[in-house]
Amino acid sequence: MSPETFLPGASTPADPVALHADALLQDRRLDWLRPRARRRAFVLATLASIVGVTTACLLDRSWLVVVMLVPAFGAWWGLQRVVRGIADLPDAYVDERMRQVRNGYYRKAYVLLAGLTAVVLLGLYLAVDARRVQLALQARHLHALFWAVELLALTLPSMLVAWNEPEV
Amino acid sequence: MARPTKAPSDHVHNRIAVLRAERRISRQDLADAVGVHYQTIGYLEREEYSPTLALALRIAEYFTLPVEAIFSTQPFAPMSTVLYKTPGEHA
Repeated sequence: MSPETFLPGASTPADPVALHADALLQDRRLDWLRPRARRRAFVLATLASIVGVTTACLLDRSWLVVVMLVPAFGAWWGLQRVVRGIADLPDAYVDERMRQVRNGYYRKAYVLLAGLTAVVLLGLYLAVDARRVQLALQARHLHALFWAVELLALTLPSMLVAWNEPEV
Repeated sequence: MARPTKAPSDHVHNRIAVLRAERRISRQDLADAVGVHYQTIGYLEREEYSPTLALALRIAEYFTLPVEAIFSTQPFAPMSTVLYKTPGEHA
C-alpha cells in the first residue's frame, strides 16, 4: 500500500468513503467503549440482540421482529465504529496490519459460521431421524434461520476483532 | 512442496521506539509520514506486528537510516551496551 492511499485527513470532499474512513480511523469519541472488557460487553449485547431477533421470528410476531431488528442493526453499526471499521472498510482505507488482522478474523468468522450452521442443521436432521422431533417447517422458522445467519454474517468479523484485539 | 513453517527468526525486532523518542516524534507524526494508522506504530514498537518490506523501507527512509539499523531478526542489544561497549566487543 502506498502512503498516498492511507493518509488520515487526506480525503477530498468528493470522496465520501474516504471521509467516512477518516472519521472511523481517527475517532476518539468512542474511546470509552474501546477498553477490551467494554468491547466484550458490547459483543455480548450484540449477540443478545441477534438472539432477540431470532426469538421474535420464532414467536411469529412481525412487529416484534421489526422492533428487535432496530437494536440488532444498531449494535452492528456501533460495533463497526468501536473497531474503527477494520472489518468493513475497503482495502484502500486500512493499512497493512489492519488488512492482515481483517483477513485472519474473516477466515475465523467464515469457519465459525459454516460450522455453527452445519452443527444446527445436522443436529436437526439427527433429531428428526430419531423421531424425537416433528419437523413441520413454517415460514417463521425460515425467517429465524435467515435472520440469525444474516446478522451473524454481518457482525461476526467485527465481533471477533472486538473480542480478541488487544487495542483498537 | 514442503509445508511452510514459521521459524523463530520470522519475528522482526526493531528500534522504532528508541528512534522516535530520540527525535521526539509522535506516533501520529510517524504514522502520517509512512502511511499507516497510529496504532500500527504502537503494534510495531511492541513487536506485536512485523512490517512488510515496503513499510520497513519507508520507515528507514523516514529516519534516513539503513533498514538493517532499525530492523533485525535478532534482538538488538540495549542502547547502553552499544554506547558503552568495551573496545573489541561487538554489540
